[in-house]
Formats: sequence, structure tokens, C-alpha cells
Amino acid sequence: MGDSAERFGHITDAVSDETQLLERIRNGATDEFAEIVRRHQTRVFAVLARYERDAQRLEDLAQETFVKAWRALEQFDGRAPFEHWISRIAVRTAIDHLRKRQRVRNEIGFDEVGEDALDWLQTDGDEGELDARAARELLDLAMRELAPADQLVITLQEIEGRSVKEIAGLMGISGVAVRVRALRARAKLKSALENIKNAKHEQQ
Amino acid sequence: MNNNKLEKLFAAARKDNPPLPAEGFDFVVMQAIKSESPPRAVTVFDQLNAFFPCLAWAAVTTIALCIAGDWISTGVQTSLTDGATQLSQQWLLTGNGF
Repeated sequence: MGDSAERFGHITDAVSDETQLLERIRNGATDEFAEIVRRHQTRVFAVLARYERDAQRLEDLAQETFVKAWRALEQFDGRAPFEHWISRIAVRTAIDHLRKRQRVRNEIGFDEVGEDALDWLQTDGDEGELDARAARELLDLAMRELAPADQLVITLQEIEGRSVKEIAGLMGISGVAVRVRALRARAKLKSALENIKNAKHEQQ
Repeated sequence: MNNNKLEKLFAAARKDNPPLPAEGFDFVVMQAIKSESPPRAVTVFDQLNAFFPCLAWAAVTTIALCIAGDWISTGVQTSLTDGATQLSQQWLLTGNGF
């Protein structure tokens, strides 16, 4: 009980401290925005890394997210924690990026995926272990066959483990629409993975 | 691709650690923010521009009302003049006339 009260007290202090910091920034202390960047950069990178694996492009997206947050700072009303607000901006930046990327790449790039991932895909059944990096590479390749909104719903639900309500809020659609889209996206992802498997098989 | 295999793929992907921001990332962001043009002070013209659609509609409505008022009053005046002329002529023709 005492621990919980102490922890809650720390959280309240942190929120109040951040509220004061944001107020100072709004009143013209531009340089103090650097503190906001330092506090939330890890979270923003974690969100964006789900959608972009290239380190340089990831940094560009993170920078774009913070610049957008800076421009929209007046609109932050403090009803939700700042971390949630900036995460939403990061997700929107990611979906814009996915849309642009969709127009550029459409072919299957086997060279971007390690042999381990492709070998795992070729095996029948679900035996064998796959390391995290190989899994990300394979998933990234398969996701390219999906529409940006489908990629987003798969990433938010299956990788980030967000609830339907949260996804609905982030995507601006109803909970029912999220469930329907998630089901369809999952089916499309399976089909995309089958395509990769078949294409690799034909290549051998 | 069965569901178990897909779940295994998701589970492995979840373990992938996101890269950490490079040292001095906050400085890069601050440079980008400072390179943006500072917000300009709002002038009277900006405010007029912001209200432009409302002002334009108000002006059009006022002009339309003036035209309608003029047309109505012109019409009424004509009939009044006609009426007055007719009355005065009738008055002069009768024995009561001056």
C-alpha cells in the first residue's frame, strides 16, 4: 500500500513537472523542448522501428514526429498523457511513410531477408526457432504486399499488443471496423507469406 | 502457413529490440525546429483574411437588401405619384375644386 502510494506520488510529480515544462515552452522557452525530446525519444523510436528498419530513415521519421509535435503543441490539451499524444503523432507519421513507401516498392526483395528466415518459411509445420531479427525481416517483406492500413493494424495488434479500443482511437475507425480489418489483414499476410515461400521455391 | 506458424513469427518479431536514438538526437531536432520560420505576429490584414468569407457574405447580403429596398420603394413611390395625380385631377374636375 505504502509502495503503491509512493509510486503514484512519483507519477503525479512527473506529470505535474511535464505540464509545467510544456507551459514554459508554450510561453516561449523554445530550448526547453530539447528536454521533451530527451524524455520521449526512446518511446518514439520504439514505435517507429516497427514500421521502418533502416536506421537513417528511422531517425528522419523520429525527427519529423518531434517537429510535428512542436508545431501542434498548442493543440495538446493535457487530457491524456503527453507520451500517448506523441505516440499517436508517431503512428500517423509512420502510416504516411508506409503510404509513400507503397508507391516506391512493390517487388519481392529476397536480398533484404536473411537465409534463416527464408529457410524457416520453407519448412512445413511450425517447428524450428526463428530469431527476432529474422522474424522482423520476413514480416517486413510480407507486409509490403499489404495496404498501409492493414500493415498498421497488424503491427499495432500483433506486434505492439495494443487493444482494439486503442487501435480504433489511433486509426480513427470503430472497434468493429478494427476487428474486421485485422481479420482480413491477417488473411492477406498469410497469403503474402505463401507467395514469398512459393517465389523462393521457384527460384531454387 | 498455419496459425501456429504465424503466431510464432509474431512472437519472434515482438522480441526484436528497437534501436536507441543516436547521441545528440535532441540537438538535431532542436536545429530542425529552430530552422523553421518563427511564427509571424497576427496583423489586421490576417484577421480580415480569416473573416473574409463572412465579410463577403455580409457585404453581398447588404447590397442585395439595398437593391431590393430601392426597387420596392421606387415601385411604391410610382404608384403613390400616380394615385396622387389621379386624385388631384378628379378633385379639380368636381365642383368642390379650388
